[in-house]
Amino acid sequence: MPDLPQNILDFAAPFFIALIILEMFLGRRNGSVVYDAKDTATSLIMGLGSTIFPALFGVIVVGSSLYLYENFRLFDLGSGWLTLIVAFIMTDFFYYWIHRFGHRIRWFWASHVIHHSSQHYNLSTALRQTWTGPISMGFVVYMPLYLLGFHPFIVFFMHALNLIYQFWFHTEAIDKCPNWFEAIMNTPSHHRVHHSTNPEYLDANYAGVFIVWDKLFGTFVPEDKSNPCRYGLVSNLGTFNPIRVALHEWVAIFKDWRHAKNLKEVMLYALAPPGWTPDGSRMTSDMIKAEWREKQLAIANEKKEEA
Amino acid sequence: MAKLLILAGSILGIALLVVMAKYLWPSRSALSKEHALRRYTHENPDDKISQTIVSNDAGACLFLLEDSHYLGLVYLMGDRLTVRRIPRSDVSGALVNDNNIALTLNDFTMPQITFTLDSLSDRQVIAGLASDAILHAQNKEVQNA
Repeated sequence: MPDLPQNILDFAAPFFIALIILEMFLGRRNGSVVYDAKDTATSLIMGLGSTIFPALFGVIVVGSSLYLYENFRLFDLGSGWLTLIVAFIMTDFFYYWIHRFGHRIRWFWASHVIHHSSQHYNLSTALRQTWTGPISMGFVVYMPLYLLGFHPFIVFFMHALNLIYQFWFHTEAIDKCPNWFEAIMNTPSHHRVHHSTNPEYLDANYAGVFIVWDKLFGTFVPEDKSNPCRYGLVSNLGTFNPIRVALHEWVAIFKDWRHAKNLKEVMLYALAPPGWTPDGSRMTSDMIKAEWREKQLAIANEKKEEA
Repeated sequence: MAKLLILAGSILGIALLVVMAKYLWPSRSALSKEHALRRYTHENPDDKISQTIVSNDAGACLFLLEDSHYLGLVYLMGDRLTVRRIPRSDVSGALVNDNNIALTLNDFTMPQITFTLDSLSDRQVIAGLASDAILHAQNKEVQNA
């Protein structure tokens, strides 16, 4: 078993708090950052809960991962430096897909939506995390890594490092990083786009650490300063109650299931993109983007005719 | 023991950060009729608004629409706004207490919205929404029977 600490997120907590205090003071001084007390409280309570509730399912996550690794792995990749570096990159690659599924499959979105439910974008938003991750079972996406021969504890450690990296870029206090860094790494600018509800920014920049995955798979959208980001959800929440925040999309899925006419609809209510309905009465992000593109085209045509 | 210390430290940390947020960004948000209208029509450009009612505490604004099956709501969430276009049948009841009327909604993410209104006619309009809801529910029962 590799000798890697499995609780680095616990130790990171004091640094998170210190960085939030720093962001508050610097951001308050130059006006780049806005906090709201109730929003901050909800985000931080969600963050605390996310370290408690999923732990109840830890046996299932750890058990199933170890079972796969012990019984079905193709290779034994050990825990040398090269393995650790490759594991970090591979974990980030699979994180990209977990995150992409988290936005495109409603069952995964029911957990991930919590992270997007604040209308603010600051370091406290980074800690607004789901309580129901193990129910969505996003962890199964990492399973090919165990079959390849990466020990689950290495993957868990790399996943934790990945999440720690992601903390710092949830801020408006940093505008742009050096060009070379923006080209390779995920940054505040790239991730602001990801948290935006502007139609042209929807479903973009899923990366954890390396933005190259988005560039490779066609989901990269650069931030456009002439189009300021509007944060939150397409339909924002009307409550700060953490329990309602944690469960709202699950409740919506169960409500939809009650109206499902057949098994296909039951499946699609859970597995189709968020917003899907049999009659198209709600909008998916694809529909919102298509409508926006149509409007832009109409505006452009009008301008052409005027000219 | 270490876990308990981390938990206690986290709770203290949360309290500290919330107090700091409250102190550094004291909430002075208020919803004006014009602001609410601008936001609502931005998100629902096709809706025709027939009446606007703003709560005295400037925390909520209700729009009666020409399409009477729906209502428009703009609600102050801290220093941000939440905009909703809800089916009128989602109003499930109202609690009236002097000038305050709390509308109960069939919406897990916005279960209740409170209006403080001096105007009797505005109060009657809002209370009427709940009566409509009750009538709607009764009609359903009649239809089911």
